[in-house]
Amino acid sequence: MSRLNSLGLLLAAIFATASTAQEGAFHYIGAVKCQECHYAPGGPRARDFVLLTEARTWKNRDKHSMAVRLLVGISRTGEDGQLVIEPEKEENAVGLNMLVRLKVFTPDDMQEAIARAGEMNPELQTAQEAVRANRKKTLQAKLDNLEDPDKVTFDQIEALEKIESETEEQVKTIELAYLTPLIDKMYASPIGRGCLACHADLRETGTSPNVESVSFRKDSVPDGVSCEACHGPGEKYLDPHYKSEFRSLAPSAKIALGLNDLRHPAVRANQCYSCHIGDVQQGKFIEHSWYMAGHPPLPSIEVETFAHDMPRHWRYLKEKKIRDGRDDFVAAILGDEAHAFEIDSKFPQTKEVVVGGVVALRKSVALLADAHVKYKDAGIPDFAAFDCLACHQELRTKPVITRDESKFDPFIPGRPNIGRWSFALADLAVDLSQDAAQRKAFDAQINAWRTAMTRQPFGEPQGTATAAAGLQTLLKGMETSLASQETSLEMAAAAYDRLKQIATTELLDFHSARQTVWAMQVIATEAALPLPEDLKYPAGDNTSDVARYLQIRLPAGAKKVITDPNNLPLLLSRIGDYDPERFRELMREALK
Amino acid sequence: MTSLATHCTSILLILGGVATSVARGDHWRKLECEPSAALGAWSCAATACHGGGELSRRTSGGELERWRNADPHARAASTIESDAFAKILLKLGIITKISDGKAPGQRLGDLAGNPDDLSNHAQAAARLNECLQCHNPMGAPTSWTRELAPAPGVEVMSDGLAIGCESCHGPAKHWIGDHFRRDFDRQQSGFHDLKNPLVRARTCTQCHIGDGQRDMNHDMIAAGHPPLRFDMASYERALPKHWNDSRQRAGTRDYELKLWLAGQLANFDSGLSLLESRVARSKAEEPENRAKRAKAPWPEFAESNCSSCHHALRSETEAAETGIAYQPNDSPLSTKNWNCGALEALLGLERPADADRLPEIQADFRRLVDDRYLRWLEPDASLPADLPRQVQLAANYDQQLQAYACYLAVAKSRYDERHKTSGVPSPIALDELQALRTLLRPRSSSDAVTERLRYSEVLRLFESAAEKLQ
Repeated sequence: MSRLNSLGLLLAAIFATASTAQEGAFHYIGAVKCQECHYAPGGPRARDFVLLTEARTWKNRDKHSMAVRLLVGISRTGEDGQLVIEPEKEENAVGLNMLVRLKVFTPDDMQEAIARAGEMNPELQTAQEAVRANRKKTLQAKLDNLEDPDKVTFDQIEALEKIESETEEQVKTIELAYLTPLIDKMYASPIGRGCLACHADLRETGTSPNVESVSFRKDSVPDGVSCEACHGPGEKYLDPHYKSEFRSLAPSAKIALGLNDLRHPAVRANQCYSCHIGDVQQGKFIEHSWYMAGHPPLPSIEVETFAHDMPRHWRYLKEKKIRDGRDDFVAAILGDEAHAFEIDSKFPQTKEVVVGGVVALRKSVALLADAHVKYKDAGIPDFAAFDCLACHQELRTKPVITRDESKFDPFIPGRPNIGRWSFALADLAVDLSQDAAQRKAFDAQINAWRTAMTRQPFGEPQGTATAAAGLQTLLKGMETSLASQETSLEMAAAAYDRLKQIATTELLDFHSARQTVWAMQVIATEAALPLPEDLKYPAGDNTSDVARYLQIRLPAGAKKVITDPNNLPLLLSRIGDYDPERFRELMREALK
Repeated sequence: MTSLATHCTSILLILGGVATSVARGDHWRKLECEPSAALGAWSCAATACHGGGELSRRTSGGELERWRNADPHARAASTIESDAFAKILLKLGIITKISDGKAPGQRLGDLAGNPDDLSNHAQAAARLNECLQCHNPMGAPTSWTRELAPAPGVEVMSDGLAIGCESCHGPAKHWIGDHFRRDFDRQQSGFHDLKNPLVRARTCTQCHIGDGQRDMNHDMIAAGHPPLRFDMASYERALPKHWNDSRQRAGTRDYELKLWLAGQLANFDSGLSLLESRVARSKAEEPENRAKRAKAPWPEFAESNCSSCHHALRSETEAAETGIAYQPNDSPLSTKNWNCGALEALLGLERPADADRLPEIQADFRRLVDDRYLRWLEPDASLPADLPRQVQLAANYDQQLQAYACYLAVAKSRYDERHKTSGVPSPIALDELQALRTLLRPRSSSDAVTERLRYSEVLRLFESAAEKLQ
């Protein structure tokens, strides 16, 4: 097929999609489809333009693949990262206990789950052993084939691969047998669907933002937050996207096929925050009663640091090796106005820190404005739209006024605001613009927000909505202009210096302090700026004073459970014991 | 706005069929505080009256000296001259700057808003006036009051006492001439019968809890004002008394405990008046309201226990250890107020759910107290022996303080009774109460973890103290 023809077909497909999109038919296909290609075992192909190991990394190392399992007591804490069904274990039972308290499950459901786990866990272990053994056999056969193609034929390898995938199916079948009764119950309850909105990518179609009106596909249940949760429903782009011509499509053409434009730093951040901050319109909102029932608090999030720990399964343009297709790809994205920024692409992570910081504030103000609408009948929005620490702080006779409090909180003290950390990096972005008009406009919008939040505790609904709208317009504009600007070494250095200055002169609350340190780590590492040893992101445990004080290292990896008794209580006591003056002192020492 | 009150739990004030045996009395009478009927402390200060001399058992004399020299209330004016006070005003936006070194009387220039821009300036002045309702009811001259008369037509008192005799005893204009007579009618208009423990408690709670005229809210606490945690029995023990209560004490069984109960009843009653006023003022349209009183914020966080929100985030295990179990529909913003918690436990009272019915609910409450609990305050009455167990609330910091105040009253009562009968002073549960006192002391800013560590210890001490005090 000639190049022109296939492009023509693609365009036809796009055109067809554009017309069907209005009727709303972006179907999810499930991670299993993606794994057919993106689960390659590495080797020479990993050096190609596309890694092809993305799904493998995600499945074995990324916590997101555990998102649903976490709710029902399955962990990857077995030997060599094997799946284990142990809902009776304390750290695994948090999700189940929570769902019992919220009446999504009955105590009997919980007991049944434990009983079923007792039966199925040994089966699951046996099945996983079989997968391992078969995988070994296949691998050996491939090696033998390399050595001597006569000894092992391709047919034999294919047969072994078939056995391997069949045993893998067996693992999934056991998991599904355990999960399905529980997931069915969750489908049936509004709270359960709320959980699944973030914890699973189970929707049939990707058009309706309203989680209550969509149906879920069940065959992907154990996959949790899988490929399409971020990349978009795959139905329309699945076939075209593996043709090499796809690379020469502009991002806007890919979007029309349902593929999210995750190369764009603002889009990427927005995708993360839709769960990690919340998005009322997408049905992603953890109510305060869920926290009371046991959901761990959502911490602040700096996108690059979190991505680093996923671990990142993608490469930025500058990291992509020059092999076939790259030039077409570069030409295509640079031809797209929204992607002109990638031409410099020297400091994509620094760019993400700054742009992501702006998006965080935009999402946080939107969350509160939307919560005001959603909880209108209750008179006040749900507490979960606010900073946990606004209320959950020990009483102190000598209050410490932090920077974010005096710059961004309501003018009357003692009134809750949205997460203070969400202002920290947005304010940095304004500083970096070095534009007095930008600073003035930002401060004016922030003052409008503060005024609306001062008019009554939790914010006056109409005023908050107006201020949120104004802020969102301004922040959106900032995102676009920051994304399209070249992120130079000077800008990275300026950002690093400004953060250093803030950390050593201002008083920051716990989460803003974390944002600041994370941002410093990403920027200094990428731009090769001198970063003191004590401030480096720890490879293992939190060993330096600053790292320990902020519990800076995330409980990363699919094998770690957030609710681990060694993690969550420690983090919570770090938050409770945190003293802004002590942090400033530690930073002064570290940066001496 | 009505729905805002729905997080309060249901009303309970169940009116049983108990006959009205105790006269409904003047103990619920509105406490007059009309400044125009006040005469000032000098009117009481004659040597032959309450001026010179020593405090004695039977005669008057020395009260005012004792008050002026020892009682912290007498120095209320210095509070409002302090930097701490100015800082609170600054944080609340009532003033826009603190003029250092300015002579008293010139600070009014700091008030927010241009005096020409009356709406803003008048509002700032109105809000300052709220502070002065408690801190300077007698209108002593301070840097804040020279131009800001406490009420129209009131002369500024020259005795220099921001809180004077009449702040508690009532404005004296109508009774100064005959209150020393043997046949004086203590129900005389304007006279506060402070010998009656309930009236005394209500007099304190006007400021120490708040009422329709006085409101110290969460905004002010966040700006630096200490939270109002009032327990009359404890406070009275700590106050250098300018009166002699030994006769009353000797003639009353469980005197301390009755003081405690009277204090709790007054807390509850004042709290209802305050809540009613808060709800009404939160609904008031601002422009009309502006010149008089500031619009009240709602929800008002100070209606709740401090620790219903102010506790560290806990993991599930820790929550279980501290006994904070998850309860469905448990709204953190309850109306379980620190100052009312003990009474809720003891009498099964709950604070109202229905904001619109507050006046009615207060009338019900008063009737219930008259019918059932007033007799508990009679000199011969004895209170339930297992009272400490009934008030054993220790789930959070507020409740722990609350229970501690009650236990102290019980311990002091038992101590006095033993002393009366055997002549030998023998303290009860002293070790436990001292240990509790240490544990419950206000925490320093760096001491945030103690709540987690000490819970089981506090519980054990209460348990052991309750046993001994039974």
